[in-house]
Amino acid sequence: MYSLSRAKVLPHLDWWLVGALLAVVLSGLMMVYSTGYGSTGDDLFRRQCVWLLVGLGMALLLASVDYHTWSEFAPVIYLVSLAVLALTPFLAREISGARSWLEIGGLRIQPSEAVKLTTLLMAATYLARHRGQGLRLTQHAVLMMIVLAPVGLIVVQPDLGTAVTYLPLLAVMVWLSGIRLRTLLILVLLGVAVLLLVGNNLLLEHQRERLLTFLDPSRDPQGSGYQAMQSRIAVGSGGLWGKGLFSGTQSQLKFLPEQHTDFVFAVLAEERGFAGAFVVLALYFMIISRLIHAARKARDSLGTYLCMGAAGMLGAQVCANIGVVIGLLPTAGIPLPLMSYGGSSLVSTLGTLGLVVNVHWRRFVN
Amino acid sequence: MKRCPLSRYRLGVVVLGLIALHAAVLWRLVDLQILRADEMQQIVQRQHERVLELDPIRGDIYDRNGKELALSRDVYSIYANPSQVKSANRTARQLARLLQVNEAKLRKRLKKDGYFVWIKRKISESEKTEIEKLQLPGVKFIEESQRAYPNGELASHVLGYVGIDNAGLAGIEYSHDNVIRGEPGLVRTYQNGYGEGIRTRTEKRPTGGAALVLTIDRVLQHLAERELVAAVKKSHAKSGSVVILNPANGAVLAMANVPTYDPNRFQRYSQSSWRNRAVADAFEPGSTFKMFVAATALEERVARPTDLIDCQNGAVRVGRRKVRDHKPFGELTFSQVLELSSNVGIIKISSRLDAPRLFESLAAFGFGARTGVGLPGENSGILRSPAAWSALSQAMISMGQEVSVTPLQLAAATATLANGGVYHHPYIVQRVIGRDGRVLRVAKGSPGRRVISPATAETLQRILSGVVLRGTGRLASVPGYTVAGKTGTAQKIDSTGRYSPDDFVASFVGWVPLESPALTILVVIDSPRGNYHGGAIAAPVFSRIAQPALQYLRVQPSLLARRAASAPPIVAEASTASERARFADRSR
Repeated sequence: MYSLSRAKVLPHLDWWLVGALLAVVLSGLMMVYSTGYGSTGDDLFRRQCVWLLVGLGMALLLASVDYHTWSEFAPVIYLVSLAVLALTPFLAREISGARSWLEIGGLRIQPSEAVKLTTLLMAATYLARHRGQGLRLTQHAVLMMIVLAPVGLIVVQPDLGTAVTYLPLLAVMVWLSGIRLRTLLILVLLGVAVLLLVGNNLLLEHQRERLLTFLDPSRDPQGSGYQAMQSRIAVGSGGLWGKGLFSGTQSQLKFLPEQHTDFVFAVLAEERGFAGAFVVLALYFMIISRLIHAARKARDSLGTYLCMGAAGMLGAQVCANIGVVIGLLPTAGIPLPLMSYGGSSLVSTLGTLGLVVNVHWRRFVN
Repeated sequence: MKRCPLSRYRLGVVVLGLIALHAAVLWRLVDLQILRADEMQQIVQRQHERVLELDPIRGDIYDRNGKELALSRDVYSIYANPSQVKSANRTARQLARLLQVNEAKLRKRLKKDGYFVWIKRKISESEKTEIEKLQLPGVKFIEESQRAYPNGELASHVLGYVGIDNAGLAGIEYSHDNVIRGEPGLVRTYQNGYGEGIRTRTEKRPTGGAALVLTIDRVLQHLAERELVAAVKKSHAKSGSVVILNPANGAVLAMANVPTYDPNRFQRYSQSSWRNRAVADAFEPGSTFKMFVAATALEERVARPTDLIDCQNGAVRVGRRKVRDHKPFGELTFSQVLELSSNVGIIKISSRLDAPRLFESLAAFGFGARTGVGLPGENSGILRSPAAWSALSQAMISMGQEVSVTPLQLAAATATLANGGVYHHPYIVQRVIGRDGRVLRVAKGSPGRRVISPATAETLQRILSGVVLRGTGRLASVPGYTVAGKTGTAQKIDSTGRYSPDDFVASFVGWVPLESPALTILVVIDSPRGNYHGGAIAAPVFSRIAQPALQYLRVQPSLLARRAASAPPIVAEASTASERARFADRSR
């Protein structure tokens, strides 16, 4: 009943979204190429290109099958993904203190990134099913558990950075569920209390150090403060127009570690200046506003929730990553969606956007 | 079907939240990339750009015959890149032992953040090989240039010395620093986040400094120093100076001072030994000054050499003060006043002169003004203008009090008498030679200014040869040559501002040979113990320097003197010790 007539596929596609998306992805590729310029870069660049194709395939797959069909299978998909997530620490090799990467045939996959998508699907499905009658407290609890279950599993890996990126999804879903302000306030207070109780144990040594260093950067300028400081300097030194591609002294000369992954925006800001940073930020904003647009135009609440969840998750993660790069937030290990080097995040994000395109395509009732 | 299941309120909050996040990011980008971009760019530059100055090679200094007085040689300095040093403690311990440096200080330096700290500058070749054997990570060598003075103490006060960064700190090294230093090279190195140099760009090569050829003659300088050191030691004096000029053009052939020092390790000597007394210290000249008063009187035709001056049995009243001679004289000729150095006589001669005219003439001899020889710290001496003179002044000045002169000034003024009346500003740098061998500058010597007529000069020359032949300066005589000159014995002013009864400056200044002067030599001995008379202490030094100097310069002995030398020199023979004492000059 929600089949898409062939004639309407292209005109009904959100070209603004796709255009902005491709522009961001291509600038990301350019930056990855730039950071690796002259060294291992070609390799990184080629891999990222492959991941991009995989991601686009994923997006196409998720867009072409009606999202209601996806929704029907949501519980199964969700449970399977939880299982994978639960097994990950046992199967994964430890990389910089965390067991969060699975190696399959030479490819490294980060399940915690992919599960973002399935969690979104599950939360939206659950909310859409029960929203009609208004959620009871237990149903609120279930909704929250749907998001918090993977968060818990990821924290155990331990990969706090990725876990944190689930929180905007939680916030948006709970907020859109029509929760009353009083209930929300109680929940927030409860959450803060729990965090304070467990938080100190939850944070690993290096994470605690990062947090303290963020609060007082002069604490350790050579250690964990170094990256934050270098990143800020790289961004600032880009000035208005930047130093030109491949000419970012800080990123090219290894002053800035992790430059092609979590700090790719610093490379962009240094080499392309405020102009480039502004354009990319505007493109992200455009993508997010198109997601919200899709949410409002969606034919049903499932579509709306999917799009809003995606918008919240994506928008918050973009701002969180850039916030780290420009020194507004402590170093957290959050990649920049669509731009950072790394396949899992790219494929997951493109998949999410595929779902949104799916909703947007099928906004008209036949 | 409900088109949108969301209230505007729920949706609006989410949208506003997202806008707020983006706005915060945008604001921060503006702050960092536009408002604080300069600040950030400076930090970047500090981080990855190092500017190194490459020492230029300092120009050599030669004597007038091309013998090296100061030269530059390559040495190694040792430094560390603390970010690459593995164990600061171990590195500091090993280096401190080998290089004899303070271990604690070195350890502290090695632990500093940064990329460059000196460990020791200018180490020896053997130290370098020893350290290379240790293969300490982060410890590196850099080639530097070191100044060397191959003759040690020779001409130390003229040459001066350089600091660890090869900047001239004294003497010619200081005053001509901008000529011989050369231009440092500029190298910009770019380094990456690991402190590794990745790119080096030489922006400017160092250009070597120009070489200097001085008027100093190494042999004459050596003679002057040898005799001065001996005389100061023998007379237990505090200090002394010798200046040798070429009277024909004012070229400084030698300039020696005691105490002296070795510029290769000047820090090990007391600061007072670094002092170039020949230009930096002014003293009351005493009787040597009488020459210039006498010259003025002859030039002004207020006196003739044969004029009889009544020396009033050794005392004259000047205002409230009574001036005495060292020995009562009756009537003396003008010539005898100088030969015997009578204070009364010169005061009476001087009184025939206008004060302004006397002042003008003395100023023309170069007194009261720096000579401009090109050495740092030159003293101008004191010659007050007549407006500032008291009733006593003219009398005092004519016997060399109430004025002060530097040894160089006195030598230059005497050279004027020697060469027939033309004052030449003394100079010490003869040629400046560029790195490419091109002569950049030749000192022509000042054209000279006529101070007294040739006739006056000739008259004085005759009179002053009498000083050495018959008068107070007999010990200055040089066998085979005719010497002219004048002794001086000046009381020093002590700390209470009065003339001291014990401290004197003994001096002799003169030239040789009389007819065609080759050398003007001044000997000043400050505060000798025992016999303090210029004729006894300084005059013999003149002779001992002049004798080998004339041989070295192959100056023809004069006919007249040769004859005098072949026959027993009557006057010289007659000069017994008691007579020496009698003739000794006591200008008080």
